[in-house]
Amino acid sequence: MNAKAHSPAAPAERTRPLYGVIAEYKDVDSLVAAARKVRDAGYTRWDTHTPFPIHGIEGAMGFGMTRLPWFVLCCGLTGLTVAVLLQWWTNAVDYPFLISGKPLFALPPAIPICFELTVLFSAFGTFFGMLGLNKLPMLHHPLFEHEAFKRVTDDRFFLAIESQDPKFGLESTKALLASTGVCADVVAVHGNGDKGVLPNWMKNFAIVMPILLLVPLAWIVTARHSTSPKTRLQVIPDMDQQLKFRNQTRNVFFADQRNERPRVEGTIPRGLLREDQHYYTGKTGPGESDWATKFPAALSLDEAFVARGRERFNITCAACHGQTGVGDGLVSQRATGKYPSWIPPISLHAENLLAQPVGQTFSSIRNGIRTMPSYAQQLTVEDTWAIVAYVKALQKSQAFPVEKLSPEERQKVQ
Amino acid sequence: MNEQHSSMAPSGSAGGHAPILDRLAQRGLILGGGGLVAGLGLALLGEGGFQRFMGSYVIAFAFVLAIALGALGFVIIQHLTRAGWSVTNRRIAELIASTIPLLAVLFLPIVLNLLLSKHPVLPWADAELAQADPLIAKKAAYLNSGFFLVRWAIYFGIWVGLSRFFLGTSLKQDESGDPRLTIKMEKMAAPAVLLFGLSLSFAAFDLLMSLDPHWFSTIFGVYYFAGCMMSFFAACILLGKWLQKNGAIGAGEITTEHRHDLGKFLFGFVVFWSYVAFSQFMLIWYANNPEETGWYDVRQNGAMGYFSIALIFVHFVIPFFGLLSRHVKRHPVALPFWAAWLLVAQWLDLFFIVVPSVQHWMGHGHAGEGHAALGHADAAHAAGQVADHAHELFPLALSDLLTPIGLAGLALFFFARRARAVALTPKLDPRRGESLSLQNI
Amino acid sequence: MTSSAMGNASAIVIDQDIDPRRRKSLVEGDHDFTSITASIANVAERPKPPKAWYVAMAISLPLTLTLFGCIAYLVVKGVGIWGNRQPISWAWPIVNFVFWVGIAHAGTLISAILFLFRQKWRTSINRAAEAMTIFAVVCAGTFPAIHVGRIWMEWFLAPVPNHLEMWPQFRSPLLWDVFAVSTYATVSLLFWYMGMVPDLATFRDRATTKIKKIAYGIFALGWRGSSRQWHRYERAYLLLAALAMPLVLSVHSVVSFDFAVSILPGWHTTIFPPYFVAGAIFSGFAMVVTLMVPARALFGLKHVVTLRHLENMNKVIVATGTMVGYAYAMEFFIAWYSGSQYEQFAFINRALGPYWWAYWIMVSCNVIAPQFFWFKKIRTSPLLMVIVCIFVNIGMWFERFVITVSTLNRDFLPSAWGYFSPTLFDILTLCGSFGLFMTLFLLFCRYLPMVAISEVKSVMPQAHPHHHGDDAHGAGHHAH
Repeated sequence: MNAKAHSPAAPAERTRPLYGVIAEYKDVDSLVAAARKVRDAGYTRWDTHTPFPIHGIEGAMGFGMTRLPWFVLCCGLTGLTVAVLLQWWTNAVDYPFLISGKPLFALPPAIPICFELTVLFSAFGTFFGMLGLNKLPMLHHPLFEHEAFKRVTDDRFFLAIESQDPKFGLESTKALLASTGVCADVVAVHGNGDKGVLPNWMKNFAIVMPILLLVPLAWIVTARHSTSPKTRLQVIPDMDQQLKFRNQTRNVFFADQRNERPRVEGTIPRGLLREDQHYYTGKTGPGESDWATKFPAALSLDEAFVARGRERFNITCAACHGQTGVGDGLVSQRATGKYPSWIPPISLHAENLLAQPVGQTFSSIRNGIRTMPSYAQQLTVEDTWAIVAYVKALQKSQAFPVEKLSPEERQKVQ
Repeated sequence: MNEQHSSMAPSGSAGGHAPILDRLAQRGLILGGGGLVAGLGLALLGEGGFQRFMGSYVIAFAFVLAIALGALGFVIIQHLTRAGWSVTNRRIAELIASTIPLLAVLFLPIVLNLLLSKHPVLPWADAELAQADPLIAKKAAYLNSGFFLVRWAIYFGIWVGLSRFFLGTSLKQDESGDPRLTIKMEKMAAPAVLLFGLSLSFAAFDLLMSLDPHWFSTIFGVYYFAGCMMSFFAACILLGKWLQKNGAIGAGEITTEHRHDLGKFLFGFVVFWSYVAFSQFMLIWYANNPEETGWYDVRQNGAMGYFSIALIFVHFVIPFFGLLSRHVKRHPVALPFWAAWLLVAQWLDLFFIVVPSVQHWMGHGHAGEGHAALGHADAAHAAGQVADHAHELFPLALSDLLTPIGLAGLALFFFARRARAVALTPKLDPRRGESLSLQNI
Repeated sequence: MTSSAMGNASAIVIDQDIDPRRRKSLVEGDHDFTSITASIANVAERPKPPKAWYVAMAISLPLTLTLFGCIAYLVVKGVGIWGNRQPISWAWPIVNFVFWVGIAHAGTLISAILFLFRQKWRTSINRAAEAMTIFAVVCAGTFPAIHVGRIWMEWFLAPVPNHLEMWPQFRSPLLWDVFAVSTYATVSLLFWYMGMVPDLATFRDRATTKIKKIAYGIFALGWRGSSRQWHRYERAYLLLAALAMPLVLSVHSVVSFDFAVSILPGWHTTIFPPYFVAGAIFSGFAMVVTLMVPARALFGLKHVVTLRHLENMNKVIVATGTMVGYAYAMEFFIAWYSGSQYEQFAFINRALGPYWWAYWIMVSCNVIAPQFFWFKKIRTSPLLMVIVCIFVNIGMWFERFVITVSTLNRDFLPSAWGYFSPTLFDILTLCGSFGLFMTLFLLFCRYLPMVAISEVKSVMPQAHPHHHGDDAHGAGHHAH
């Protein structure tokens, strides 16, 4: 093996630059002694190679502590910061979501994730920092061309001095190393330094693979930003397809194949018989303005009824009209100015409304008026009347002259 | 290297360091007497009187006990794991643990308070309250003076027995160098650690957790254990440093490598304490169950809240970054500085545990008198209101600071008297060489 | 006087195993670096694995396929195929998850914590234990992943900006779990891989075929054992160990938070975090012993993984088993001491309620079985220690079962009480996860360095330079 490395019959070696010389040792002590000798001779670009870490060789080689821990500390602090910001911003700012009465952001429940991300970032920092400082991966190195060097991962110890070292001289360096306790001849190693040569297939792979990896990504991006008349590809149907008939579809079960069934002639669905025109429409005649001026007789206009009206009013109407009905509800306050098209609700204490018949107020709530939508879906007929009753009471209370109040009542109002 | 070889042989004859330790004993006595008298005097003059002073005394007792128990635990664990690195530090630990008989004597004031006082510092021993409060009544089978005394007799029996055994056997080895003594101690260590763990947990329940007899936490024994170990390592570093500086321990006997390792353990237990304290707090915070939150309520609100926040920083954040670096742990000044810092942190932790409960239940005691005629619920309610006023008071009394100094001084005196007659590192331990040649990577 | 005392002492003859005057060699027999490399690399280099390997594979591979089959069926049919019903809606999936995460604690614990405590005996077993960690995390991660039913929605767990403009709920302990377990998996993988790089380089340099040379070569990253590299490598290893140590503790603590932040009696108790960690180490060590005893015999590694290693493992098992026993006792004591009738009922129900049998299996396997390790005969006999360790593993599975099911089966209202029975798919999925674990482990034994070659060499006596003195951390310090 040594003879082969020695032989001048390798013409390629001649053309390639000299990397350095390498010496081989059998045991730890010879290597450490040799390292000391090389250090004392003033060499700077050299290294020892061993199958396992040798404690104390740092001193023999004369190099100090690595700065890796500082790098890891920085990574850890970054992880901590990321964790705090992530939890705070997502849960307390961008998507505030109250759950089980917990604060949107508090330290106690944030600590586990802060800890995990600190460790995760530090671990990445340690691993990749170590690789970076060690200049790994470096799949090719001139030393690998020295056949005996294979035993560096088994049972042999090596010392290599680079030709770049200012003190390097092929013969003198060889002689220096030969004077240490080597177990084989000191030989020269040729190679291209750090620049390894990748095989062509690896180069091609390195180019083609990232491009191939981009394909699915590009496909997803395209799909998300284009429209198509075709049904989307459903890998997982979830509950998109259900066993039910949709509107206006065919149903062969019935003779007329219509899915919607027509009403049976001469019948009225249960609960939809609305004969009492006054009660259900607020009108007393067929005309446009035959508004009822009185409440329907079926209702008992007592305190409980008005209280019910107040409750419904505060739930359904006050959001826009405000609790006093002047039109300063929270929705209106927020929308005014923010949306130019917003028309604020009129005050319920306007002149024309004070004089409005109760039937008309009822109709406005049931059917909507101007930009106000119908509230027939949200309110039962009875509750609508209750609101009307409350609105009337509200109008009276707001128009009530202060002088007429007794002193106790005035105290109470204030 | 030569220096190390020479130090393989024990330095000087036993007792050569006696004058140094006499000096230590003298200082301990001055601190001890002065601290106790000043603490008691100030407490009697100040608000709360004797009852409040007993709160300070519990802090002081728990503080000194923690160091002694930490030392005992350390000795046991070293034998259990057949540790070689720590041999030259072990004698200091054995000597600290040998102060436990003194602690048995110092426990007497708590016993007398329990038996004689109308409103003892452990509120469940207040007969009226124990009847009026349904929760305490339920626990009467465990929380009663008789059983309490029996338990503490057992705890002290275990601790005194173990500390005497380990110190005695180790001293015997100083004479003979017989390696079989090491094996004997190793064999003893396994059952010892069981006894130690159980007695320490229940002692923590009895002395500290039952200061608020309503509250309960399964991790509390581990919490106190963390404080014990941390304060022991701090004390061990400081004592070792002082004794070495004054020439009682040879320069090669306790080296930077040992201090580095002790520093690592100190750091480790800072983190461990934080882990346990966080677990306990976070689980109770999150579940928000009124059965448990009361304990934290009196600690989070009012003036006490500032102490609790300070505890997080003093006991965890600042020493964590302080001790993180390898250079600090190997530094001759920085490491003792952080050790002293953490003893203060341990004191703050005990203050955090003891004082709010004492103040809260002082209110209960008085309320119990005034509202004896009312039903349980009313009495408790009234008591709660009194206690709420206690939140607003500044909780720190000078006696909380002085009494621990006093008891620590007495323990130091006892330690020094015990140490003057013996070698301060095991002379003929079979692993002494291994310990002396310790190298950290 | 002193020297004569020492002279007398050194004349005393003591059983070598316990003699405090000497540390027993970590590698048995007359070995040098060459033979260590050869004997470990031989496991992967021999043309055919031993017959028992095929037998084990023949058992574990079908089980693995069963697991995949169960998962496929689950995805198609939904979680209704399991026995999870109200009030026990957390049943076997979380029991299995916690069980496997627990197993996963041994590897990193051995690698990191024992490393920091300078327990050099770890070098022979840490590689295999770390591998077990990773495989156990794979098994563990499977359960929460599949129990959500609609597994394609899993990415909701990650904080990814999405079209719903939603973010995960970071105040939920279940999300902490996601972060803890995935961090743990990542760091364990890094730790394992980093430890393996020098050994992969050994395999690379010994490779006889081109494919092996390229495959091992790529993963060895061009490692060439330079002392400067070793220096940073060791520093990085130390840092990773220091990071992994609190991480190990945090993972099972976070798992315990899943239970303990709730207000259920039997779940909400402050000792849960350290109690879970002790239990995890306990079960993990038991699993390592269970697998290493046959593996060392099969692959001819008895001189590297010696009885001393196994005995030390068993000592850790008895220590952690006792800690678990301590936690059981504390739970009972505090349940009584709390004075809360719900707490008291929960624990009486555990021991005497419908799941009394599970509770007593747990106590006898976890607290009583490891006590046999007080006897040296039992903790040094390979057969007996495996039997005890199998009991420990059974007991630790039942511990999680008891915690989960015996707490849920009694709701606050008696009308909501129930009883859990597993279905066939519960059982098959659990068995399948054992198959997956075994299959991965068998593949690892066959193709990767099963013992940390370079680390074992570094604890041999020949590995230490004899000091000549002048350069302890000497001149010319410069950071690099």
